[in-house]
Amino acid sequence: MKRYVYINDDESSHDLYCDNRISNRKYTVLNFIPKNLWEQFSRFMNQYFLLIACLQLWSLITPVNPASTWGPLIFIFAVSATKEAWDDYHRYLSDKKANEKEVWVVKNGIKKLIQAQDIHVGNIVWLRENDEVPCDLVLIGSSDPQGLCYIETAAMDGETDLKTRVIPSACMGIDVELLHKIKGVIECPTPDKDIRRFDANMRLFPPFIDNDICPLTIKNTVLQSCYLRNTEWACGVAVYTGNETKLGMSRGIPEPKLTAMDAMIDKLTGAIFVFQIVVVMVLGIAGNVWKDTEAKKQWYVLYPDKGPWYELLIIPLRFELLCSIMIPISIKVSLDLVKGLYAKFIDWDDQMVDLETSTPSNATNTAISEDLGQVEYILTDKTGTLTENKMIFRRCCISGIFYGNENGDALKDVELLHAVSSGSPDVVQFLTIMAICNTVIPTQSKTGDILYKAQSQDEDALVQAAARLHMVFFNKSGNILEVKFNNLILQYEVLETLEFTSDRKRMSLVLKDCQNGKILLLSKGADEAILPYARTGQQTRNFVEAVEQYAHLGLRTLCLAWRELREDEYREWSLMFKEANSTLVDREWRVAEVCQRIEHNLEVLGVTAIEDRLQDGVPETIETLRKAGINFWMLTGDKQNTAIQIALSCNFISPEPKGQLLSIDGKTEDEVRRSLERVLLTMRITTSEPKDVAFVIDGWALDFALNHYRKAFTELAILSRTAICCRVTPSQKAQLVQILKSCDYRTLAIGDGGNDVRMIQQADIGVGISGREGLQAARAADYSIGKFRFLKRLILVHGRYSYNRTAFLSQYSFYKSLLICFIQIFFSFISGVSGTSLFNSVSLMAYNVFYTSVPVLVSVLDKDLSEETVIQHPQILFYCQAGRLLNPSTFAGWFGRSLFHAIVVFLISIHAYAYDKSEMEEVSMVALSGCIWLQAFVVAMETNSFTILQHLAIWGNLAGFYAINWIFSALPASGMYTIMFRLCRQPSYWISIFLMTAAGMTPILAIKYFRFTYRPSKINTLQQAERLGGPIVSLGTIEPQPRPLIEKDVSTLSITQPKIRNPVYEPLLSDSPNATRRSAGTPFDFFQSQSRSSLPNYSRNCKDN
Amino acid sequence: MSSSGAGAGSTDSTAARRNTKRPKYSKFTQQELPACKPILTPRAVISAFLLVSVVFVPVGVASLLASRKAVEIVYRYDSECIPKNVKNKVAYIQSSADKACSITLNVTKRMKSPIYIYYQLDNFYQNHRRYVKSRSDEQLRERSEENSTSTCKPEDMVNGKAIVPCGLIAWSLFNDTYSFSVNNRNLAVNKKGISWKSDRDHKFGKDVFPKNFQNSSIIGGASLNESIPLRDQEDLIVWMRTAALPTFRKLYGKIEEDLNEGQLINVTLKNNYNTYSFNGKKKLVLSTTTWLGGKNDFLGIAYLTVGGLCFFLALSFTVVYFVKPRQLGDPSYLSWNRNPGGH
Repeated sequence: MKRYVYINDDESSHDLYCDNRISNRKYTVLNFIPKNLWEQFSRFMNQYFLLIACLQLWSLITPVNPASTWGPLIFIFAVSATKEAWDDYHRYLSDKKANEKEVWVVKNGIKKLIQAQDIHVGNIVWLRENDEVPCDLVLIGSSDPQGLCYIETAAMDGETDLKTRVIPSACMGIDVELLHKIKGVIECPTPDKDIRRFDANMRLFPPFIDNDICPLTIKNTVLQSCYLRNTEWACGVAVYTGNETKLGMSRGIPEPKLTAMDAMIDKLTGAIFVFQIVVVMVLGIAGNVWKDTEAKKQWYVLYPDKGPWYELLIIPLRFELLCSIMIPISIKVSLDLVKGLYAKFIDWDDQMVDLETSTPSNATNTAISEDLGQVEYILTDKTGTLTENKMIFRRCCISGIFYGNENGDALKDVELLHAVSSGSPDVVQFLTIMAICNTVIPTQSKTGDILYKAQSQDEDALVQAAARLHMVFFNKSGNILEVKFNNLILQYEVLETLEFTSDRKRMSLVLKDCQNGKILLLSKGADEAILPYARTGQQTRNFVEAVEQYAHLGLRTLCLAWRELREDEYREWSLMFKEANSTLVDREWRVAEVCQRIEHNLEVLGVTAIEDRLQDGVPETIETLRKAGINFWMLTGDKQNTAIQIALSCNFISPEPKGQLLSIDGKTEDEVRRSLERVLLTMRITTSEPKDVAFVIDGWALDFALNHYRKAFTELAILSRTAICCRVTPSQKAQLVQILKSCDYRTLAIGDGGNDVRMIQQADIGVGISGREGLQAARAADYSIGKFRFLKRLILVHGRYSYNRTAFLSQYSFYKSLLICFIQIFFSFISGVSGTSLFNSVSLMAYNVFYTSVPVLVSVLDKDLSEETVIQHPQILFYCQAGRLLNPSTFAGWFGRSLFHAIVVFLISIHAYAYDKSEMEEVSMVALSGCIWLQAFVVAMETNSFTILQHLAIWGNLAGFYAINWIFSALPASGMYTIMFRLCRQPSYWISIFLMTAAGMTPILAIKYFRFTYRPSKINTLQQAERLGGPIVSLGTIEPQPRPLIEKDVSTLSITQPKIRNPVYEPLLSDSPNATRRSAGTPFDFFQSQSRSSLPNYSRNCKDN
Repeated sequence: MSSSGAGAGSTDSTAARRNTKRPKYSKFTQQELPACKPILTPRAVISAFLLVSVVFVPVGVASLLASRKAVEIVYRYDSECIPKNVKNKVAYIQSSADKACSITLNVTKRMKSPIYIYYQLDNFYQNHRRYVKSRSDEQLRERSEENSTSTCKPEDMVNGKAIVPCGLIAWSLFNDTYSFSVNNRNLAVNKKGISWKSDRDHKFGKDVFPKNFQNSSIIGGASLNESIPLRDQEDLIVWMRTAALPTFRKLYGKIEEDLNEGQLINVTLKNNYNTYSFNGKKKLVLSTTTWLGGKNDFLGIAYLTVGGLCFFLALSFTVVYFVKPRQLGDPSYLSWNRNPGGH
């Protein structure tokens, strides 16, 4: 299918294609209720509750009033629907803002300001600098004489560097005034979401150009949501509009993230559901049998001889309704409530406020706090995340003389200042390159200060430093650069710009010195991209040493070089360059090759060293989190040496001999494979050694590894606790996250820039640092924090507490539901298996809504260990990571507890209230009181720290139970009129209640005490140490965490590799680890036969690069 | 439990706290509310168990004594009140023959007034779902609600007219009667006030009279005098307080004089109620009460058991504590302090 866009034709395409109205809304006013209900009912839990509620409308089978289910159900649905409506309203508002933004569009030959939503396919849209592009356009004009314009695509692909776009050759040179009247047709594909492809043709109608077909590529387009930068104006023809733009097609509401705990709770709910079905079937059959054998003899029941056809179903359905409370309807509401509070605690946390900018931390996603406590891998960006992203020029080496070595700041080095003022030619040339060999644009503010607009922080630092050293780059108009050096104004004319690419790793300018007419080539770039091209005969050893020395200090280095070009040499080369720039195939490669021809024979001037300081507390944070069993991967776009240095300085990897860094590199597929195999083999051998082994890989090799050796790389990912990936692209970052996720690891991605957005969205938890590179990452993330060091608190304090609290809350919810359900089941055995409910409707509803939900909600304040203890013993996080507090075996414990308590309550109530006291309402209230007392004590026993609120909730709730029941007992209309008054006057009531409490709690206390004292978990031991005021072991005495014992036998490793990274030996009493994970992959047989070549150790690696 | 260390109070200075965009500081928002953090120390746990046993054993003894003090005479009469020659008990009980029967109770221990007379039914499911729901509280309370019998099925209407009181419970009203005599002297049985006062005042109307009761083809239990309002039909009120267990006793009346040990009580009873079709037992019970109610050893025994268990636990934990002392919070139990090769 093709789409034909007639340029500037107002009528033809109006009806064919949609207008430019963007809509991200899920609902409209009309379809909100049906669509929302449909969505809510697509969840299993809700279907279940709806079915139960509907069944309850059938009075023949309902044991209780239907309101007891309908009430909570409607409440829950209303809450979710309101939340959805609220979110959708905000989406509507932001759409509206985008739709009503005013843009310049040519209508009937006149430029008019219209709303963005009224743009139609074929309209000509005018953009000015810094405008957001309203729809997908094909460029037809630009202010640039060469037809170029610059756009920023960060919102689309996360890349912050500017991209160039060019107008099609057919439109080249059309006068600005005539652009209004241009007519033509663009033949383009139907809308798709590929933002890298646009295969179309354009044909302009006379009188503009003869009927030539001009091919269009993505280079000729500007896409919706990009920004026009550094270009005064541009105009284009709208080809895709509204939700049919390339961005609109690829847009989607991000999948809601589900925590591991939610998944576990769902699993347990499923198990309970199966159990319920079994119970219902057994009781249903028993009930029907009893009915046929016994009930026919019980004349007073008056069973009809022949019932309706559905008779056999009645009793099972009654039991289904009776047992439906087994799955607590309140659990979702309670969880949503406490999760909201966890998020609030993060927002409120005073210790996670960035004091510099006064930004508090923020939890955008309120639903995944528990996952923070279960993080196993942290993937971190480097620049701006670990470092401050404040580039400062620190040292330099000019012609073999080191500046700034004494005081660490070259700008204050007297020798350098002296050299500058004395006008040493090398130094001056060095400063000139620092000042102008870049893409920085100087602007003058109103006060006369010069501000630099730089795309790269490094260039900014260099220009600023040059200005401090009296080489002020103050104006750039067209191709003329103006520099002021000691009140002397120097002018240069830029002839060519040889752009920076990550392959070339250098940039150069060819310019003409307007003072003497000489043509110069100025270059700056990475050492490996400059030093090999030094003039023959120049000693570069000095510079190599300087680079090495600076790299060891963690500084980013750049080499500066220049040479003078002969006039004819330039002219000859210039032709080739122009030709290369206009080739259609392999242009980038051709250009690089041509650049290569001129960038040689360079006079290397020196090395600059720029510091990107580590943020405060980064090494400590990484050390603490690594002790907590979290693995760190560093994904950076920076170069390998810098990355390794930063990694060393922030405890990421250990230096020799404790650590070993393996390198995966290679330029070809084969080299990469061999390198990967070697590293993998070493990893397997050294897994049992207490050694920190890490691997480092660059983007190039990673590409091969990800695309061709995914299995091997996955195994490596599992084996390695630390990895450094350099020179990786945003999509590779996301792919790495994907690999770890596919091995069932919980991943957290942290970053600060647009290039981290995809990784942040991909990871289980995305954390954004609201830093210098803008707020993009912070906006896309689930959590935003001001500084990297807050991550420690976010995970160890907030994540851990959230996990512990939810673990208790969810299991307790099941406990209390099962407790009352078991009593109902037992009661049915003494009521002729007929499905009579022991409890009345009011009690049942209030049990779930008031009596049992209030005390447990304050468990959000519970702290098993103090924050200080956790920070001191981060290893304790292991309990959360391995899911020790919520898994089938702990759940079985709660299940057993509820069964035991149900037996206690039931037996005591029917025996203490036997014979003449066996009045239905009284027995029911005795049993209910027993449940309430037991659950109060259970909550009390499972609470680790009692604040005033806990006391209020637990004991106040108990008092509230009596208050509510006294009120009901005072109403003559209610079924339980006077019951509670009668009971409270009877000594036997109180005696029975105390008996239930004691009989129910004694064994639990005994078991808990025994475990606590004789089989203590690490949490227990720390609790004891903390609360008895004993000596809490200081951090210093803790041994570094042993490397995980995976499997000694390498050959069996890969078959089913459980994720055993269990650094804590744990007796399997109840909290058995649920640590078995999916196998990482199938055997890697092609690695079996390989040589055990000795491996390059870490220091050699460093030099190799 | 001992509470040690109260409060992880904030030690931070509040000096630089006030700042514009920063969250409001409070102990709650910082999760720093002062807290008491008890742990299970041996001393606390052992004392808790000792305390429970110290409280429970005397209460258990007191309950047992109370239960022993209550005197109870239980006499099962359902089989012996059927004439020996009757083969089909169900047919006999459903016939209109005179079913008078006389039994003798032996007072084994002096019984002080008031002596409560109960009838006990076994294997009678008053808690059966079909049965327990088959009543209309509105109808019982209000004369105007006479026709609200929808919940009473299948005993709701007869010949198109509402039954008052409707439903299976009322329909199956117990109809055995007892009269007592000692030494040929009649013992007065007080049948006033045997039902709950709240039921008489609020649940059964004083202007609601029985209507069309027991008029259907099958006769259930007792008939009611149509000239007495429901609130005065105390046997019905007692019966309609359904029992939660299949074995239950219902109050029949009170004897308001003491009975001495060795006295023989002659009971003349009318064995009308059909328990034979479902093999239910019928028993006549005379009982005195104490502060804890009638004779029921369960609570006493349970208290002694729990008290004894706690004492045993306290004892064994003490022994274990002395035999195998264990330092709480010993850092050497933190395995990450151990040699990594240790496991």
